[in-house]
Amino acid sequence: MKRKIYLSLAVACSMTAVAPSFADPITDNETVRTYFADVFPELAIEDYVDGVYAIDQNLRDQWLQIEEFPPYEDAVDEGKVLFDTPFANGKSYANCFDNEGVGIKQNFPYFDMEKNKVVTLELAINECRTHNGEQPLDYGKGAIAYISSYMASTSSGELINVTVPDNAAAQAAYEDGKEFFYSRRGQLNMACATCHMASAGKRLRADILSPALGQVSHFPAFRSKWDDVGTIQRRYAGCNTQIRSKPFKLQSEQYRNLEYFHTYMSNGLPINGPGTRK
Amino acid sequence: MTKINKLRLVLLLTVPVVLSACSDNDDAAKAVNSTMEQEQAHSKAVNQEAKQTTSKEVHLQDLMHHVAQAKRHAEMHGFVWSTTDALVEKGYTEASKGNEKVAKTIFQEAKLQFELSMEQAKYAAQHWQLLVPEDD
Ligand code: HEC
Repeated sequence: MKRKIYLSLAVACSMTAVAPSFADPITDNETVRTYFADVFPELAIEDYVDGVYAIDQNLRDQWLQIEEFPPYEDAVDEGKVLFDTPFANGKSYANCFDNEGVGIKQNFPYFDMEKNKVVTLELAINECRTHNGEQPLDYGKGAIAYISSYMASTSSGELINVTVPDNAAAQAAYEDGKEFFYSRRGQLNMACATCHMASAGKRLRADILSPALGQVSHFPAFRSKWDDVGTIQRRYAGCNTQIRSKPFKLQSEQYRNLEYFHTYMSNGLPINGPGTRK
Repeated sequence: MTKINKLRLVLLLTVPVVLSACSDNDDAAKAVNSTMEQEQAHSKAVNQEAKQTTSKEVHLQDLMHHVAQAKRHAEMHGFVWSTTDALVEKGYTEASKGNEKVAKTIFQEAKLQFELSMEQAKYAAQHWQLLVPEDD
């Protein structure tokens, strides 16, 4: 009898384990949207860019008050100054980017076929610097977050448009980011998806968990906890630490691939960064 | 690995894995709390056991070597816990102060954590798709 129970349990488990081995990115996005439409039937797709403030009216009211005098404005101003300041060789950031760096944030990250890797906006900013003989900036906060904030602000309202080209390495990078997102890790044995999919909208201690969809739209974000703007990968590191997982280096291959998958998920949603969060 | 260590490894891994493997919709808050409780119980057990058994069985140098090896392997898997490096450092500090018994206890815990994180990596590689929502 006992054996039978174990056997049927094992069979039941193995049945759930037979998930599709590879869904293409477009199907992935449809699945995620269907999933969230079930969880939050009252939300329109564009509401997701407001994160947790789309699902809790109290928090939303407080947030709207803060946004009346946006605390990230200094960062954007400072970012513009930095962006416009020429390098020692006379060139500037504008020389490194399409459309001189204005209104392009929605296309990042992208897969660079020549470099064979995912390029995020912050990585591109630093590559621009080193290409022009300047020292790279520290990732996560400070000058790089200011420049990135300014660049995001010039994309305000543009729709996120990340592409996964028909190329094995690009697809592998996307798949790698997806695996990261859905893998349990850390001493608390949790995946990004545990909190931001399965538990989205639920309370975790003092927080309500935001849905993964739309999370990328307003980065870099000004967090009251940081008292400054920070990049999305700084947030990844924070969330990893929360589950007692050793965070990866910012702009490591792991985090770039994660950002690739995570941003692709929000394709079609408008850029509204920088934004403010708790 | 001692028998008790092995048993603990199996127990600690199977509890969250069995709990999580079949249910994709576990509540994060509940999961955080229950995992923390498990973990607290576990570290109590580790401390108690280590107090009783460590010093005679293993040489500190050997243990340090095993910890370094486990660290290298765990880092390759990319699933290292944020708690472990600090433990290793603490172990070295205690060892340098001549507190061999305490150092061993700490190193044993660190080694176990590296091993658990590797098991977690292997489990994730095979089962991560369990958390992907299914299209209906
Ligand atoms: C233990 C639960 C937990 C896990 C696991 C977790 N996070 Fe979070 N995360 C939070 C909490 C709590 C917040 C703050 C409230 C919110 O916006 O969800 C947050 C916020 C965020 C934000 C900012 C949202 C915003 O609107 O600004 C991003 C982005 C994010 N997490 C990404 C991730 C990624 C990617 C992973 C996996 C590497 C992850 N999180 C894993 C709990 C978690």
